Amino acid sequence: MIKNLKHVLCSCLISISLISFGQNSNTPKKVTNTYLIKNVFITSNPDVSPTFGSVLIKNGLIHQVGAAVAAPFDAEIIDGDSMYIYPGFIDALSHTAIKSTDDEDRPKAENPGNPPNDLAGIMPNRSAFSMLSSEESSLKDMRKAGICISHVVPKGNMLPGNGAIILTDGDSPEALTVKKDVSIFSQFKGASRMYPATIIGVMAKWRELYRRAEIAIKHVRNYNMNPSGLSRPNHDKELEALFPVVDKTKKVFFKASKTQNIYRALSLQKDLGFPIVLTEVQHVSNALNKIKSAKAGVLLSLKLPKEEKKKEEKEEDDKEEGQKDDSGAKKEKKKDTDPEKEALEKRKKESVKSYLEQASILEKNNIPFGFSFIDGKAKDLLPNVRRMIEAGLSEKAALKAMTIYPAKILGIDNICGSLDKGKIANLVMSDKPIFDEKTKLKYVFVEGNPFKMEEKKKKASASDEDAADIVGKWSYEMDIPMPDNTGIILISKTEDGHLIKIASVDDLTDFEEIEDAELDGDNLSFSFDVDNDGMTMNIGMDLNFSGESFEGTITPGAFGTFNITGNRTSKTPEKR
Amino acid sequence: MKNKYSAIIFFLMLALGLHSQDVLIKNGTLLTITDGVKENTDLLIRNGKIDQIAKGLKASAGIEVIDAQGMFVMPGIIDAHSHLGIDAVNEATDPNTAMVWVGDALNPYDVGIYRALAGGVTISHAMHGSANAVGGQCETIKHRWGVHDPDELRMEGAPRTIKFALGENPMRVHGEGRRITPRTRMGVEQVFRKSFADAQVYMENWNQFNSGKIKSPPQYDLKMETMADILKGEILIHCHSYRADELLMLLNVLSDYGVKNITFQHVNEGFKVAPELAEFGAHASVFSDWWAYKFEVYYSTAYNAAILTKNGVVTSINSDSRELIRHLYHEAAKTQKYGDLSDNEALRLITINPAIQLGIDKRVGSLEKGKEGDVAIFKNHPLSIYAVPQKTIVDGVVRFDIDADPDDIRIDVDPNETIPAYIETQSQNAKGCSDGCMQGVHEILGHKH
Amino acid sequence: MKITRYITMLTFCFTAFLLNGQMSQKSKNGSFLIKNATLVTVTNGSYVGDLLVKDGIIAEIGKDVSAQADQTIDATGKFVYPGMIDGATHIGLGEIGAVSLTQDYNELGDFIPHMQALTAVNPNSVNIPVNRVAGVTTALTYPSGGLFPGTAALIHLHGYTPEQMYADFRAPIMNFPSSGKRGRWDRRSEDEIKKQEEKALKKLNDIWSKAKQYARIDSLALAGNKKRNDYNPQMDALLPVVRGAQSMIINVNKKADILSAIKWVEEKEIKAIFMGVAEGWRVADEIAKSGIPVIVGPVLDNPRRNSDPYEINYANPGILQKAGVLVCIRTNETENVRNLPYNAGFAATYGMGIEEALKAITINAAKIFGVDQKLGSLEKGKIANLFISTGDPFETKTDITDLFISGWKVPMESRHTLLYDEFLERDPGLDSRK
Repeated sequence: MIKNLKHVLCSCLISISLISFGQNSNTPKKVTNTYLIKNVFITSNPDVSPTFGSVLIKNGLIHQVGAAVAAPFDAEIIDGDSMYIYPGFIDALSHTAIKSTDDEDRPKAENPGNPPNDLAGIMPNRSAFSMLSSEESSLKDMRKAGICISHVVPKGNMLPGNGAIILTDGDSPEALTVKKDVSIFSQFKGASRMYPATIIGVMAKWRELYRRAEIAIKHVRNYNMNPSGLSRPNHDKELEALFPVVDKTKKVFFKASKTQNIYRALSLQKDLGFPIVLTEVQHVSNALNKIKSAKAGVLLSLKLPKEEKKKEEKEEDDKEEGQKDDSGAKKEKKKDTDPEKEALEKRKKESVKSYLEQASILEKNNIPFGFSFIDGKAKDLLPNVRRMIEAGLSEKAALKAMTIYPAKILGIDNICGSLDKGKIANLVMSDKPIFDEKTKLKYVFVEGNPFKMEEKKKKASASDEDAADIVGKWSYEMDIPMPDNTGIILISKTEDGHLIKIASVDDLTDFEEIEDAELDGDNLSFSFDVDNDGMTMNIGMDLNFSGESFEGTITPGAFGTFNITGNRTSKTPEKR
Repeated sequence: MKNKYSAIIFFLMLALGLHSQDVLIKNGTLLTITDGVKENTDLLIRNGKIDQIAKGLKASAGIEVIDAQGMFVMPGIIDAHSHLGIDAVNEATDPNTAMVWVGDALNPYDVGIYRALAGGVTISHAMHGSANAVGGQCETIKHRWGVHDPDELRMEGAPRTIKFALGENPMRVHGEGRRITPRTRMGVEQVFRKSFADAQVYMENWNQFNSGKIKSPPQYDLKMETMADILKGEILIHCHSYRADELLMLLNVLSDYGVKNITFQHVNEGFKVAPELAEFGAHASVFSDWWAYKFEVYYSTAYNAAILTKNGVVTSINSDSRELIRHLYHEAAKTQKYGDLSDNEALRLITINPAIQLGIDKRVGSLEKGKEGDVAIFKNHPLSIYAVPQKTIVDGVVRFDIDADPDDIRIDVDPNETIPAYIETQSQNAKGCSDGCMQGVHEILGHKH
Repeated sequence: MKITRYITMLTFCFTAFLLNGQMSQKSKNGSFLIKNATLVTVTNGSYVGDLLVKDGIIAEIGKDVSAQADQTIDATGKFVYPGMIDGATHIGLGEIGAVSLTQDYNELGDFIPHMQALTAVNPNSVNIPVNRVAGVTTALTYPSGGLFPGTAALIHLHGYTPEQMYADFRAPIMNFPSSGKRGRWDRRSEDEIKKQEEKALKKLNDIWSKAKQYARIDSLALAGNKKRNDYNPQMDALLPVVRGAQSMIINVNKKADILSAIKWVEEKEIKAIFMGVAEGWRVADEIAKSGIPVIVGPVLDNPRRNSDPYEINYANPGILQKAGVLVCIRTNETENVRNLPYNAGFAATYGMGIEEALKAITINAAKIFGVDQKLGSLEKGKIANLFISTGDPFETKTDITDLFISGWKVPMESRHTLLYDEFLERDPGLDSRK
């Protein structure tokens, strides 16, 4: 299905943004830019305890915070009703709002040993700013998680480009952007079948580029002082983009999830001398000394090991099942314990625990840190930070890691990170203290612009009985301006989950099958591969069902994320 | 044999770095390599160095004493060709990748390091692969199992080394795989000649710039920097090679460019040109008995090491394998079957000779006062099939102890793995397609195994 | 790729051209009296005595044998052992690892039990002399690949035709569906692996129910003297297994797979031999209970999981043997079958003991292959597969001085020894013109 999706998508990307401009005229204009939030517990920065009072926002800035604030005539008054208010959270690094580029159509390098820089993934001259799209659904995901500011970097290989600081709300790249070209992003990711392809290639290339940049700076400066007798410097755009790094005025955000990669990044830092922020770090405690001596910044990954909390319950379920439909055989198996297996499980548990403890270890070592969102998801922010708190992180440090620490690491603590007068009015309002397990976000203000969080009618438990009934035949429509943007989805129940069959309107007999898709409450997510002229594209779907309809997103390959909606047309999936 | 409790303590000590570098080994039979066999003799290591070798040494208070009565004590085994402890082996993108360095990809968590220690191996030469005529730079590592920092795995001060490769592998990867020279052994020669000639020009350009004769800086090129360092004699060459003719070819190229340091690796047909290798001063690091896994090793013999040794070539036995490295003592013993080498000749192949080839023979490779405290203790003579490594000591620290050997030695446990993965083949057929040197190449060429 | 093909063709020509130049001497037939050797009989203890080889068999053995012989060998101070038997190899089926056209053990297809290893054994393979001079006189050589890759054959490492080499045992191979990763490069998720394993198991069971059906029809046809009008060589190859007349060799390694293979064998009520059994140590008691014998190894191999003890593959044969499993050892090699005594030696060192390890590569291997009446020990009447050594054949230092296979006195020569002789003192040496 969706055979021609890719080609159509390419031509349509531009028209999408046109359409959305048109849509704006359909929504009513805002009537005021002044808001007074009353009766709230205010945590203006993590170091102070909450005070009861009001916050006045004017023209996107925090105008006043205090116990008694008079309401200006033009203020829209929001009654906080004893809710809690915090500085807006900061995503210290992600790909939010970055348009995906089509890497697959890149030409093959003629000389794989010395390919052009752009093919090899060496693009420090590229700017995230030029790749922003205000239509990306990732912006909404960020806002929903209470994140008001994102530090966004391009996707790519070894040196994808410059990062930008953006707000998570704005109707154009310009409106989103707070600061551009604030950082250089780098990762240990080689190019495909050309130099540098491996870790060792990336390391060597870094060294060479850096030395070349050092030499080029000197050359340029000498030439500017006195060009006589000197060859004209060639303006190599990649090298020039590294000048601020060599000058130590721009930090390199290095993705280094594992201990080994942390050491690799730090060894480059040590040999070359640039300022570094370790990014998307999963495990840090075995490299603390070197992190300290390098004065490296740290951004922890929000990707944590899978939770095993529900295992006990599940085992009980299994037992019951075993009693029901099997003889004692199953039960007997459970009884006999395997010491080897136990030992291994113990080690795994210790490992999981160790990963969860990393944030608290950073706290104990007085290393300020923030969070990055490359491998983790925005919606995991609060749940995962709670897991870190359970593992020993203080709530104060946790809040700092979401606000003032990343602001400092990014050099924007003068405009955000706390609720001080004059800073950007980025706020998060919740019904309970923020780290309370049942807390729900009620409002998120991005530069004074309020977003009311809709209450989801999600069922409390995700166990089988409570899972939504989604069996049947559904029609879908994708929010992609291409001809064949509709089709059908057949869903039937299987032992382990659901069997999904999906076909596009261009050929309603050509089904893609996805076995064992897992339904979590009313959320169904799955992905499948589509073969398109020999090119395989992975399509991801994330659907939320509500009665007879669903809405969600579709992510075709690297083309971005689009909305998809659908309705049930029949309760029984047709047989093929 | 194994005491669970002691294993836990041992493991914890290693992990926390709580270990002294002093140890006294009592009453062992010392196989010194350079000074004969000394029975009932003690060996004292202090601050990680061999301090005394004598009978009846008294331990000062607090020094750990190992009773080696009836045991054999030999210098830590050295493997001149391995790919342990590195996360990348081949940057197979160009016939010359002199700029890359596997020391950038060290991984102290590779359980292969511990398994090598359990075979008495204290030092290995972590090498780049053989996909390219000029491969990457290599790293000599000490098997300090338990460390996290890759820098602590390095043998500080060991000379720089680089991998070269002749014959089928570079021909296959570049010539067959990409239609880029070398497609033949003629092409391989010219890759070296061009690289060295370019490096000479490069050096001259920088000399002129540095001496002020030209004002504009030449382009900095890490590949050329490395080639220049080879020409200056600062990097030892370790060359993957098999056929007699290609060995002579490289000797000619090196002679033309005045390069003297060369160890031929594998070198299955080294025995055919042993007199020429000896005359040049080239070294050989060979398999004990691998052959017939590819065409260029079809006309070879397990007597290779013996013929080379008897012709005066400094020869070592290497593993190039996560499996063989665990019993290099047995691999060396095979030279007694294939060529009747004496005990000491055979032991030299895995101790002082590889040390010479790696340029570290002043520091390790024999039991001598002042050398580093790298020691392997065996029950039964190490060249016997019934040898069992008991303790392996690196810089005076016991890193392997058969009496405190944890069942699960992993340091890095994947928190998302349900049970540690079972791997259908660990070493079997590794040489079926080629030797260990071709790791990572299949992915790059898009081949499936 | 065209070029690869050229290389392989070229190689093939070379190989064919040079194959027969592996020995400068011929094997000798006749009668040979070995005097005053320590006879390690394996089945009747060890003692100093004499042994007469005649008409291809051990004609006499005892403390004092006086007989006329074409040649008398004084073996004072030396030892005589029965020839070693390698439990599984590709010897004779593969010549050069990386040259695919010299590899005859992996045919296309997933269900091809009718592919006969014996057909493709190259009696003139360079590998054969190189390996037999180490005292390995007999080896199982087997096809590998898919679910049913073909039928293995036991061969003596001497002879000029496959028939001359055949050692009276053959059995189809089955690769039991594996739930393990195929290598460190295998990136399949746990779920994917499980799914593929289940699929393969289903296929296996489908094949087996068809095989049973086929056997039923075949029996009826035989009983009714009717002629079946079809050609189904795959099913024909499985008939003796289905009927319990022949063993099937099941390649299985992972703990969970071994357990399901035991269950499978019991359900199907067939005779089976397990091969590989890398994680046999985890389920040694269960294997012993099933009574299924094993071809274990290679012993000189890495543990299969990073969490496993370093020495576990050395210890595996001993653990199985002590649990009561009938064990033989394989090198799983093609060109280095000669390392069989060292595989056994490591097993001996790490728990099995010398005596049991020796049995594993002689009489127990013969038992597993059902040829223990003819092979596996020094006994009167058995086939004269034996060697004279300077000592314990597990010890690396030990030299094999004489070798007999099927009563032929085989020269102690191979490419490796010939190259040694030629090049130890090369002539001409260094170029005198320099």
